[in-house]
Amino acid sequence: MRFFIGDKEKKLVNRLHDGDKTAMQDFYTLYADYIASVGARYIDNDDDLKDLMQDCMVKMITSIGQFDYRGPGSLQAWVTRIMVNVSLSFLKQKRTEAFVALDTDLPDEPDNGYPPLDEIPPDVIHQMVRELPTGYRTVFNLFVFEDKSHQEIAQLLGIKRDSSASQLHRAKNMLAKKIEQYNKNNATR
Amino acid sequence: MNEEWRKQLQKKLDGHRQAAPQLSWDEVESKLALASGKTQTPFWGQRIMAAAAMVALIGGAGVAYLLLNNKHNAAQVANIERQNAPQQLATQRSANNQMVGDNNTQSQQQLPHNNLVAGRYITNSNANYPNPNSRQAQGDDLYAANNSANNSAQVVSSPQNNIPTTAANQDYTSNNTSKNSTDNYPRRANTTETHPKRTDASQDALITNRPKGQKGGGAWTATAYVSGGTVTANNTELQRPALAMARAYGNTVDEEIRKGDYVQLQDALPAVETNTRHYQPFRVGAAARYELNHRWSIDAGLAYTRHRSDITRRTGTIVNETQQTLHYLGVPLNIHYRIVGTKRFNVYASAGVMGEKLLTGKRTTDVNYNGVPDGTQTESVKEKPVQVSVNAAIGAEYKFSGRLSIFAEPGIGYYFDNGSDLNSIYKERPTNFNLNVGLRFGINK
Repeated sequence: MRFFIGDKEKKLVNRLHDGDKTAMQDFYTLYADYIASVGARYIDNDDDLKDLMQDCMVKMITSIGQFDYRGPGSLQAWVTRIMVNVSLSFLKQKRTEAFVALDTDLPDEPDNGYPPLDEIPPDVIHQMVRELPTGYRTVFNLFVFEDKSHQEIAQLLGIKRDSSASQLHRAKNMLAKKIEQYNKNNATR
Repeated sequence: MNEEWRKQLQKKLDGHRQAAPQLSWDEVESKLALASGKTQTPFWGQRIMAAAAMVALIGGAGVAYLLLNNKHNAAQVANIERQNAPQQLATQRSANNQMVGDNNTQSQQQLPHNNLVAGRYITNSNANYPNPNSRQAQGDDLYAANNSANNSAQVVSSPQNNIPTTAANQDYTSNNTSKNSTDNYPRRANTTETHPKRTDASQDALITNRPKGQKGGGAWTATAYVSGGTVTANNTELQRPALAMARAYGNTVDEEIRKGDYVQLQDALPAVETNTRHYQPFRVGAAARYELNHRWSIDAGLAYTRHRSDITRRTGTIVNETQQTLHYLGVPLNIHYRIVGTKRFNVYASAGVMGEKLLTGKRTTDVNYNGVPDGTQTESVKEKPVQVSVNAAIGAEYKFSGRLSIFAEPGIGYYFDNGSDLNSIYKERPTNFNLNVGLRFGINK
């Protein structure tokens, strides 16, 4: 899903490139909720999220000159990347313990399977992801939403490749449990 | 993890939005102001524009001053004052005052004439440049330049057909040009007397008849030229996406991620390979040149420049082939210094500044997906900041006849970064060699 395609997005980019102040506001109005959602996947504290959104907006506005419009969706992709980068930087700096914990070997956990997602609204899934512990959540997000391989996640977070795989497994199991619970509650209603 | 389940999750949250925390635009703006140290770059364009405007203003004021206080006459006044014997001071002063008054009157008479010539000339140049058939080959462009140069000649020569050349004027010239010798001193009074009687036409004739190599100025020259070459700039850039989800668009902006603890990913997505080939810009221009004295002259004009670039971007199996054409219109201001010269041949050095604005630009992209053509996209290109450049050249000029001369000026130019992200040869190769070839026509000689 994209907010707007083709010309509208391109026109906004052109206006931003021209240094149009109202374009910056339009940009913020259009993307604030989206950026909030991307950031919230990584950052569970709303105060931190607010600070990071501010950083993200400043970064975007000051570096819009480097952004080259490459077709529909490219602005959104760019925005996503900045927000993810800002969030990862923050996690790396402030929450190193979360990643240190990731490297401790965990006993094998049985697979909880893959419960169906059809009946669950996006907001609920989003909230479930947010509730995962920081370390698990980060690996999970990078793997699921940013299409990262375990090798890449290991490099990004400075952890072992095997840890990334086991963290993902744990995160997935936690999420699956929540989803199952939700489906069960929903079915009984 | 089950791939299908992962895709379902992705789909579920693709484009998901949540109410942003209470962060107002004002808060963003205040943080932006704090970070403004980093945002200075785009405003450089404006600063350069302001500087260019100042240069133009000062240059323009200088030309206006010269027109109002004809250099020729001013030099004479100074000369007379310098040569005054002390006992003659009082009388001479009154004579000088009278002369200055006369000069002013004459300058005012002369001004509309010069303006008329310059005005007509520039109008004519405007009509000819920029050349609408911008895609034509260089041969055609040369023809166009010649053609327009001829037009200029026709227009500018018409008001000058009835220039009288009188013996009195000749006499005046010889008096004036040898003004630094003490022998000339007794003839000073004579000069003062004859001076106010001169008409505009005779003033022009004076300059024409002045032998080359003697002090003088005030001559207007029209210039038309073409500039081009075979030099091109090539650039190959390999960009790897920092995050796969970001689909490899744009540049990595986060220095902390790129340089810090995080390792940039190498195999997340196919790298983006961009090949850019900028062809040497082709330029035609026209200028009006004003001779300050036999050594120094200044000119101002208009220059149209066409840029062409081929940009090939490969992302995996997707190949975008873009042809970019940019049309710039510039205002060059130059100063020339004649190093050596004979009756027919001159060698001079030039230096100048030019402000250019992108009039229009177009990018046509052929998209190729897996070797199969996937449509063509056309977009217009815009650039707001003015492109400022400085240049220096050595010129050689050969004079065919009284009016017409041909010149060649190999030179070097430097294009300042104007902060825009438009990909052009100005950005790729800020220092550029060029060769101007053109014709000059004396307007009032």
